[in-house]
Amino acid sequence: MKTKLLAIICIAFAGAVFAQNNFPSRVVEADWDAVEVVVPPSPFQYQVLFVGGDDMVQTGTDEEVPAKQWHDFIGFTPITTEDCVDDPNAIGWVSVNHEMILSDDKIGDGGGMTTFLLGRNPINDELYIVPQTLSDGRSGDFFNVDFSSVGETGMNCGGINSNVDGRIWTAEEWFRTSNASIYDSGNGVRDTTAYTIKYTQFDAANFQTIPKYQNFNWMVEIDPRASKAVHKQYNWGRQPFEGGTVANDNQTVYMGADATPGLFTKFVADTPGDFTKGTTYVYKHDAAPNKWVEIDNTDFNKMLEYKSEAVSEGATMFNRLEWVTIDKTTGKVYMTETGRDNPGGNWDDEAALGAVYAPHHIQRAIDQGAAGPDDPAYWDYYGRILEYDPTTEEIAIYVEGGPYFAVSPDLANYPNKHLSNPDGLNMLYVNVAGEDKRYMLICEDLNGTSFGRTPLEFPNDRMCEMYILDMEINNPTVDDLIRLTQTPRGAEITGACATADGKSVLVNSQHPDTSNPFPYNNSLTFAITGFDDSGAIDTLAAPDFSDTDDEFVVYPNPTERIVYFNKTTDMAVYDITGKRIAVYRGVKSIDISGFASGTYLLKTKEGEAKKLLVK
Amino acid sequence: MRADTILLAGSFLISMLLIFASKPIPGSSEYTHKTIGDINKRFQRDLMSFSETAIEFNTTVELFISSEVSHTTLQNKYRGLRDSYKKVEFLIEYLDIEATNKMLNGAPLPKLEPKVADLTIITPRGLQVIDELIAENTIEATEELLHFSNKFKNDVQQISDFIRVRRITDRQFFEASRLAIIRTATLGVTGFDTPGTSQGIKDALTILKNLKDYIALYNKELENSNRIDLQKKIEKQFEKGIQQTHSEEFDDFDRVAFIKEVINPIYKSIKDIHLALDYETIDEVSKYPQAVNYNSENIFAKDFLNNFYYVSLSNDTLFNKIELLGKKLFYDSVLSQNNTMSCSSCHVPEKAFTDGLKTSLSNTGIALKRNSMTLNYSVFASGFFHDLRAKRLEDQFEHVVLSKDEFNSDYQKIIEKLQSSRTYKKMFETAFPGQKTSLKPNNVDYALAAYVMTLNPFDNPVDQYFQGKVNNLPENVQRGFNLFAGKAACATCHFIPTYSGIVPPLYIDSEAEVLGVPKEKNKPLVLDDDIGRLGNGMTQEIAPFFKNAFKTPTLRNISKTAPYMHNGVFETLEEVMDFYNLGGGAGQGIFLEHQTLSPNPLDLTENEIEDIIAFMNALTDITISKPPKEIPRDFDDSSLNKRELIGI
Repeated sequence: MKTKLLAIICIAFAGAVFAQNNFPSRVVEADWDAVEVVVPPSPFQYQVLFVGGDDMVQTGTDEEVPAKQWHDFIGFTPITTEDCVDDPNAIGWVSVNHEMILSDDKIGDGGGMTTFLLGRNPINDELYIVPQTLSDGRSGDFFNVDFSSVGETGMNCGGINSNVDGRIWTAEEWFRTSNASIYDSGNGVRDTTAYTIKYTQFDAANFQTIPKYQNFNWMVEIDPRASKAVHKQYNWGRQPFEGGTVANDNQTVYMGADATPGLFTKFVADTPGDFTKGTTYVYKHDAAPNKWVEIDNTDFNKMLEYKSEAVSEGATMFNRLEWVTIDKTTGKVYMTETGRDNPGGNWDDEAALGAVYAPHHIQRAIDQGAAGPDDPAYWDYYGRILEYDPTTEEIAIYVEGGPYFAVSPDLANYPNKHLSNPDGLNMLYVNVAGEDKRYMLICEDLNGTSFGRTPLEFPNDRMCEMYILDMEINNPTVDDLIRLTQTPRGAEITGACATADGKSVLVNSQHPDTSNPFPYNNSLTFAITGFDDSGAIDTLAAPDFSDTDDEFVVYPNPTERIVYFNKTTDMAVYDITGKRIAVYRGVKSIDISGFASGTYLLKTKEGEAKKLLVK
Repeated sequence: MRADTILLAGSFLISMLLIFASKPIPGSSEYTHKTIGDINKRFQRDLMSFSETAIEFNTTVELFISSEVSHTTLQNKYRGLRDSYKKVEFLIEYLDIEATNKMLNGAPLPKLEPKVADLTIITPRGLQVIDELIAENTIEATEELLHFSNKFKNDVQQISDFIRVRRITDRQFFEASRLAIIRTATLGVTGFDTPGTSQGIKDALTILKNLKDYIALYNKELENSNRIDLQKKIEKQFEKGIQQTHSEEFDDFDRVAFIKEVINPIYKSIKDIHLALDYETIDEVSKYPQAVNYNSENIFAKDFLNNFYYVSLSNDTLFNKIELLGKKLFYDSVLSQNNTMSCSSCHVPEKAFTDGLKTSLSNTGIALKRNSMTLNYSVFASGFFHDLRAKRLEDQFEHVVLSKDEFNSDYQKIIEKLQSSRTYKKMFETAFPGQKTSLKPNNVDYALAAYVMTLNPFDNPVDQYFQGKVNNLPENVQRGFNLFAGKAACATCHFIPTYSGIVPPLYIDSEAEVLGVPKEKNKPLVLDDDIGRLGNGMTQEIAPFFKNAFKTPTLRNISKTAPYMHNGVFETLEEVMDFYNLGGGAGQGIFLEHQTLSPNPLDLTENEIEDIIAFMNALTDITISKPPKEIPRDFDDSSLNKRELIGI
């Protein structure tokens, strides 16, 4: 018996050593109870750049206060030859949204943004903050964006980052309908006197006096170099904006609104680069000959009452549109439709007034046996990513969220594979070893935990993940998503923004659980670097064990975080004393990142054993 | 790679030893043929039958409306629906608690849709709503009933469709079973689950019978492990429970005996079986502590809830040092601007950390808006202050520090002062070693939290009786407990065992209630003008039904925490009981749209009220916290060293 076992162990051993040469790849495994940011291992590098509540923003000359929290959108503005920056390694400005309404004597009431200049160490590719002195005399690392000239801001959620030239707009999302709701018992925006729009480039808006709350919920352009707001985009309509994107022509802007109904809006500038003059349209999929219906932006009342104008024009309704991005290679526009559990009661009124449901909602309702998207029983738990093709003006589902087992993922891949309530969305263009690659970055923001959106044991946790999707995959499903990173307990993952060189992705961890250890108890911006390394992104894909026979394989070994097996099995882990310390059921990989360095024993339910070294 | 390979070879011997030393992973080769396979099959069957029963019930409601069946038939079918649900509830709830609360069996109260920017109110649905309508039995109620039974039928279908594809493991089965036992004691026999028909005892009978059958499936495995004695033991405990719940009426049910003789023993036995079979526990699966400590054996034990779940601190060797520091800071007036006020100014240990005043006094002696809350057991909550404006224990101190009426200070000032005391500096360094600066705002909060989170002795006479530490509990206290958890419906908001608003069986969410507490006790009653939770400054909690809602505090040590309610309007427990007995504010003429307390009188007799008060008086801890003997007196500013130790 003993001899036999020994022989088995020897073979297993050889297999383990051998396997290391065979399977040079790994993926990031879900860590359902992370209290820190979970990132891919080397060759990727990880850095925390900007911590809310801890890093100080320069609010004036020799005056600084802790930055606001609730980091959301991230914009990156690459440095140009016209910029006078002393540091030759500076790469561009980062603008971070704060999705909140909070009074602050120094930063300003409402929400806000923070900007900083990034540099990259040419030797090791590390990022660092470049100190600046701004035109208004402020000097330091981090700067709050001054919104005082545009009548303050609030709930800065998503935004637009032009991939033409890095211009930045911030979206004032949470739709406000009264002054009380922005005043918030004095905790929010304290100045609620009527606001008169003056001296802007928007003729229709100038000298209009509006209740203060109506000066919220616009797209607002900012200048990241001066850390100052430029203007509110009074010609794009007042909407619960979340995201948007600028097309390659530097003339067309696509925007989504986070509401049920959420409308899809397009603006076409008369002159490329000048977005103060042009035409505003709302999407109507059943209009002919083309699917865009103009909403007159020279009538300021129509801009204020954008939704009712669009509804009476019969606009197409979506269930909470979030971020919008564009694949600059194909020109196709992508947007997240994050979903809402039972939207029926939220858009039936608008349907009665003439707005139309997006066809995929009508189809889904039929599939569910519901009377229609207005049926209270109609559900949309997981949301999806949509694709808009400007040449056909058609919108189609690009990736349907789930565990929607009728579509994806495969039951065997759940819970490892899933995508619920996608929110942040961006593109990563990177040249790896001479080849141009395109990836989509997808962030989750869970609406709930029911129906499999989080696994069983942690019903109170809403763990959000970020995925990367290779754009070369045809008809992608949830099974094709590769997990890139994950924020700690309680946090929403958002921001996902690549630097122009494609080397780094900047990510925000928003409103984490305050019980996480510092700095993960604050909203923070972090960077993952190394996407240009040859083979780095490939290491995120699942290992291919197809060469092995029945032999049980553990890879990699030794390991820092994830161990893969060549089969799905039940697995127990024993420490050096023979005490069982962890059990995993029905897994193909395990995350051992919480384990101390040392030797462990893995045992499967079939009785196979492998020794594992944890670095 | 080379070094790794050498290391691998070098530890070859160790791995050999390990393989022989370690116990096999349970469930080995015939995993699917084992008990858990049968459990899954049985659950699938019960789930399908539940789904069918929901359809049948809906049909019965239709027939009742068209007068084709009697009200008795409807009631019988409803009972059948409950039985059918109670057989699968423990696993459905375990697999998807959010869907269960939203669709199947949540409290009949409106909720806000989470994560959306607009205010969307989710109207309640499911069994508890149906239960109230069944009890009402009016024409309007029956029409509504049809609406809800139809919805219920569809919801059950949807949840079943999703859950049917899942497979549960042994660990999950045992965890779900123990949660079902907690649920039965806290939400079942207390009447929470059946707000209209009070069928909690009948439900308990179904649950016990069903669980007994499920656990009997482990007979073979227990025999193989030579622990069939455990099966025999739990069988007897189930028998006892079945006997106690068999023909009892809601008002007469002896909950004290039920918890002591049935609930606690079964709660322990399931764990014993789980461990005897050597299946993994949650500790081997999750690094993070759960609110309910799986290792605990008694729902009144000191370790039943894990206080570390609720805070940012880890249960490690440094904790005692942090707590010790927190204890000094708690009683130290150096935290306030003018060194006259400490935490203990309003939270005096011998008054269970309250101050005995109607409302607390400001730093200039002016009466503030609200009554000081007890800090004992306060850690077990997801919201702090009467209006739930802070979400963690350690997040609440800054409200006191920054308040102009209270400490009127800021963290920078506090840290500057503390830095000038060598003792404090040293204590921070030892409590928070390895940090760039150990004396920082977060750490002041952590230290105070560490002290406050330990103030949970769980040693009052009722606790000790349920823990088996004493054999007697006075008759009137027992009667009081039975009324409290029965006819008087107190335990449907003051949940066992904290008697606070932290909701079983997971104990992760705190509730607030609208009671219609008056400004003054003179009649006619006028509603207090404090809007409570609605005014707590949280953008996501602006909902009409949060107006006048206040946190449900613990009743532990209530004999010491007078006067009562958020504004201290009632001086005695008799006055409080009188208020509830008459249906709160809405029952006494105050117009309140969203009162969560029934406006109907409870019809408690004077004797019954006396018993309930006797019970509440028995909730007084034996252990009384003491202030530290001394606080640091080595500040650079010598005038500081003369400050008083507040709280003695």
